[in-house]
Amino acid sequence: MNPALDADSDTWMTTSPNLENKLRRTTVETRVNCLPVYIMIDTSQSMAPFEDVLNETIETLYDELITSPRISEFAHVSILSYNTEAEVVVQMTDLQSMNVLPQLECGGVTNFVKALRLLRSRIEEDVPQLSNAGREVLRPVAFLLTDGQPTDENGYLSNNWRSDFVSLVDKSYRRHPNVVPFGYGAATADILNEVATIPGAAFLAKEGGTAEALRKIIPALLNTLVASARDHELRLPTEVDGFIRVSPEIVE
Amino acid sequence: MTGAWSHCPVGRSVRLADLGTLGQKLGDHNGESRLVCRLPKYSDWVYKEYPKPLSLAHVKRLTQLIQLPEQMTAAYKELVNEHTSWPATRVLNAQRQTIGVMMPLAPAAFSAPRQMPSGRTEVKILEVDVLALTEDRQTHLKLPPQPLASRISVCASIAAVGALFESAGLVYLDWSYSNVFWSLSDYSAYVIDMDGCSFGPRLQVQQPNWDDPLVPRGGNAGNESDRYRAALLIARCLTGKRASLDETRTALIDLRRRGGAIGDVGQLLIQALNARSTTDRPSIARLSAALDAAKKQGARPGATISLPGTGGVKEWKQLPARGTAAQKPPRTVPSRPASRPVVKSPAPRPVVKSPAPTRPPSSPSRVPAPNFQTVRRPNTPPPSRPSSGGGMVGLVFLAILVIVLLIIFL
Repeated sequence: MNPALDADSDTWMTTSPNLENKLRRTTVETRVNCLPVYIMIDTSQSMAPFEDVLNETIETLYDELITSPRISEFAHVSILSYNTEAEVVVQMTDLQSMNVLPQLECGGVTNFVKALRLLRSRIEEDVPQLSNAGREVLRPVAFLLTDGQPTDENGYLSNNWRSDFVSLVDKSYRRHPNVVPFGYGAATADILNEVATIPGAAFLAKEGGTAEALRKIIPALLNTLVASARDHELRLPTEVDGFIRVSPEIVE
Repeated sequence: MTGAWSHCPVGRSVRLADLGTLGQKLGDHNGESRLVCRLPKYSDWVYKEYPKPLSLAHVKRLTQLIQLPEQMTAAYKELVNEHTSWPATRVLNAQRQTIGVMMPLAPAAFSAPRQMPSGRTEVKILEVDVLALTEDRQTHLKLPPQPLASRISVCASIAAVGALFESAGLVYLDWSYSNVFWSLSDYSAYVIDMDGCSFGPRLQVQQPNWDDPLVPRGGNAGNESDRYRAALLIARCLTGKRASLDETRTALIDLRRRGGAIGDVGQLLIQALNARSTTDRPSIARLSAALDAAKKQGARPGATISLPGTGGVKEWKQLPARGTAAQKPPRTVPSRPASRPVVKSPAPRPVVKSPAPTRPPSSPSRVPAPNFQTVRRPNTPPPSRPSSGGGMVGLVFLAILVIVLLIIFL
């Protein structure tokens, strides 16, 4: 980043609450920091027509992460999928040593409860592991990709996920993650706003197909990781090609 | 023709409308730019747009930077053209405000088809991000493992550009894994993103992982900070060790201990990284000279040592089989797949036109093979004389000698 052009502030959001303290630091840190990143992919039945695109998406993301050490050294990525159940597709510690790529299969309902519980359990597992490896671990971030509205296990619209969500992102939970939602298909701005933990960091696909939206999410995620790796803190874009930013303050 | 400062197809300022339609995006909202894209009308050039029009002070600075090569020697101009994406043209909006800059696209030699972990092959820019790795990590990434000689060659090229900045009083500060590319064809470097260079010191840039311990953020950073950061980048490229400053320093010390192949380079790098005062940091020009010397030295047989931490000495020289003529040492740079690479669309970086990597001039594979036939193996008895045929030859030789002596004396 080059402040000679004093032009960075309006294109990226910083999420660091103690920026001033960081600016005052004068010594070289001995513990290199890292960012746990969770990409949570909706694989419910409505995504079935887009299975190939989803798998292609994972493949592209995997290739880019593995072949860019400067990104993968900072951003430690895990991929979770969720429908009626939730599953770890790529474990954080496995990314570098994987020999086969998982192929996703879509089916079932959009069960946020299972997804949120799995996320929490993975954070509990991954953060201590990174810390034990000598890294300073930043607050995890979860990119939640969804094409619909949360349902219960039987596929009926439901609010049953809210208590899990509140306890996950509550500040009293030391490892509470930032959640950045990307919605497409039948996803609504209301739900995205509700799960976004950073004001203005929720993205809803503009008109266009789900496949197109998925293809645009990967460059957006990669750009986010590149910018975050460059600055060693979570940096989120203020604009994502093909998506609009949704905010509770934007009423129409 | 490859894009280069000297071959700019437009003047030193141009209106955006005159650049034609904007082409493939190479990046957006990335650091100090709103957009970086190719220009179909000028295929070897990129357009970088700033998030907002530059202030008058920055317009003046950028103009000065664009004009600077005009005053340079031919050798420096060549360096600018071949190894930097030197800003060539200010781009103006309808109000004649400077909203961007036109810069050369990195030549195709700085890209290569890479086999991706998933099995696809994609043409990608070679950032030094993948040079600054140990050989085993490079192998893991399906990259040809880079011997020390190749690393020295690339680093000499990096330092040459750094020395150019230093001599012009330019402060770059942006040394990083993504701002320097390297070539598998001639093992040189290509430096980008220099349109933010300042003439003289400026506010230190935020560069986690590259932080200057003596000039913290908020301080005024000059060429001394460039000396630190360039040294850190070069040390990481040479050793492949990058997890922490301590790890890099330890690897450097180890590298020095293992052989003389890097000459004064190790000492200068350690001095730059350990200095307690910015004035104690050696100039990049000194480092450049030392790297040039090491590059020449590296071409000699025996100077081709392996990098530390790769699980032992790599076999670069193959001893000839007993009783046969000396053989060429094995290639250290594996040949590229023969199949045509599949270029993913949209390709994030320039497309390679003819990516045919060749070995570097100083590559061990070019080292003349020593004549091992003349070398006697230690603890091996000398070969016995031939048991047949040799006696007859001796008798004939003796007879001829007697005849010659008789002729002389009679």
